[in-house]
Amino acid sequence: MIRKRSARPRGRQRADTLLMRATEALAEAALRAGLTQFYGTPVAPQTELYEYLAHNLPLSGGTCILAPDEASAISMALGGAAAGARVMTCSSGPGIARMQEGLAYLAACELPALIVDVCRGGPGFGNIQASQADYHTLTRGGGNGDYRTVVLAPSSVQETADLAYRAFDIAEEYRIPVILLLDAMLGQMMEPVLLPPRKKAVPRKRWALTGRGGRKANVITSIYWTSEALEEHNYQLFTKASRLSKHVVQYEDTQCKDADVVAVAFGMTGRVAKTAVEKARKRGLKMGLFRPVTLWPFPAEALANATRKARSILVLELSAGQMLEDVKLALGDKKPVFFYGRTGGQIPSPFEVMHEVVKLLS
Amino acid sequence: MMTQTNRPGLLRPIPFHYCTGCGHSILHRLIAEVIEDLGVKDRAVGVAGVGCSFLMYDFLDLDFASAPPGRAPSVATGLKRANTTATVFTYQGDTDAMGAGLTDLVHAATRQERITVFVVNNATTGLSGGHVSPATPTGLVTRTMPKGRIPSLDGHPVRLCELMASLGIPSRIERVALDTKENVARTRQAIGESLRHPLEHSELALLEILSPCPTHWNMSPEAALGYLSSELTRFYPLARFDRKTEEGA
Repeated sequence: MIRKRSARPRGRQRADTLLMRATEALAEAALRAGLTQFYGTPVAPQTELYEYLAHNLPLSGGTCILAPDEASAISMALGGAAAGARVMTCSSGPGIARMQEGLAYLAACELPALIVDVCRGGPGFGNIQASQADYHTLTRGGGNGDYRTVVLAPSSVQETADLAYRAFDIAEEYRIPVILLLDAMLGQMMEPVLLPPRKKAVPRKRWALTGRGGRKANVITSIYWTSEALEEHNYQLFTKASRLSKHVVQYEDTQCKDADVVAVAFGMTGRVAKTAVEKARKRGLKMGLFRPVTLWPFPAEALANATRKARSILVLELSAGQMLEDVKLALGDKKPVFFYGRTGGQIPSPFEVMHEVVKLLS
Repeated sequence: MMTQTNRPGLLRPIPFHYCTGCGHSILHRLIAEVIEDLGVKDRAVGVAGVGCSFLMYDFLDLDFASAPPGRAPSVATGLKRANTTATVFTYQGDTDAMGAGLTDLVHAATRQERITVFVVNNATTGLSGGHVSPATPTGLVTRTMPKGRIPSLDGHPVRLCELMASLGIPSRIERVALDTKENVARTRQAIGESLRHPLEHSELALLEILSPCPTHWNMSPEAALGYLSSELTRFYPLARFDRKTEEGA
């Protein structure tokens, strides 16, 4: 953000258009959505998010503190969520791996929370460059047991702010943790962003742990001691999938209608591919782009519809091919699916992508 | 010493699932009584750790969360920060608090979280069948340490209160035991003080309770109490460990 960090826009709710970094826009949108607790972890490249909230969350009486590690951070978030607060935590790389325990608990306990992954190169320490290789970890439920979490993947600063704002509503409506997946490059990118209005109040939760007061005691747990009870609970968790698929799925479809080759890409890669589509069309190459915004639930039906006329599909990722599996599951053997990926922090250029399209067309 | 025979209202009228001679049933009762006495039942929130007592919310009629292994102090942090007038306490075992949860507990204390941490130390991991715990003293045979703890090979037992006191930060730290009538009465008093402390002093209260586990110590309930008195309290002296030392050590 160009203006001084501590000078968060206050006062009248106005349409604020500011030049902001994606991580900062995310933080500000979360604040405006009613965030009251943030648990920080010291892992690059997501520090600006924590830094922004450290300056601004306490101004509204919220909690922004350092957690000793990510397993603790997400457990603190679990406690806050259990009390009915809007909570968020953020990490990257090995920190995301350490959060998987808490994610499984959040999902099992049906607690709303926003978890941000500014994805960096792996496996292991890897590096702090842009990557999308956490796709499997996040969309498959990287913790133990049978669960999934909503995964949202923005590709611009504006979309980052919009999705962060919407994420809390999804999380609370469906009582499910929501993950916002950025990559190191998007996280650092600055663009103008129109910020959402500040929420005056967030919905009260009758299940929250606030002391039993005049009501019956509430319990939030992931323990279902009999096999019958756990099976029923797990089926109930999975009924969310079909409801989410119907109401939450989001994607962007760019010139797919007449395309011979449809690229499928999300986040930063989706953005590169969009430029590639413009360049390809100028040269008369019929390229289209399908960009999933919800990675789980995956927009399988929409993808099948958008690619009906395409001769081939080109999946682009900053990994060795992970969303590729979901694309193949969505399309079956109806279309030939090709893959082009870069890893280790390398990002393909639009020309590189176009070159792959040319190869497929010739 | 008073005699109390009626069942506290916070203790649901269902039988405990604990083994004969286990300390958890005594402790559940004491906590239920004290929370009623303090008049905080309507704003009390418990966090159950992982161990034999992981279903303690079945017995205590209070708002409860169940935490991942060791993370109870962190879960309590979120609960308390969202609801500053609540009386938030955790109930953890020695494996939970001194193994996976040591980081969570140390950092909750350094942040002066206004929570009460009860650590029930029975020197064994009861729930998974009595294997060694970070608090198993030398001389006690467990299923996964058939010759007992050999410090040069298996490490030394963790003395939690002493470790936490060494941090030198404002907090209330005490170790009590359930071996005699007098010590049970002292435990009851310490539970009350530990529950009040975070609200009165804005800092964490840690109460470690030495508790018998006849089943996994391979002893009769009576012999287990004897072992607790004669052996366990030698490893783990009963005392106040924080800066307010008027009562002990």
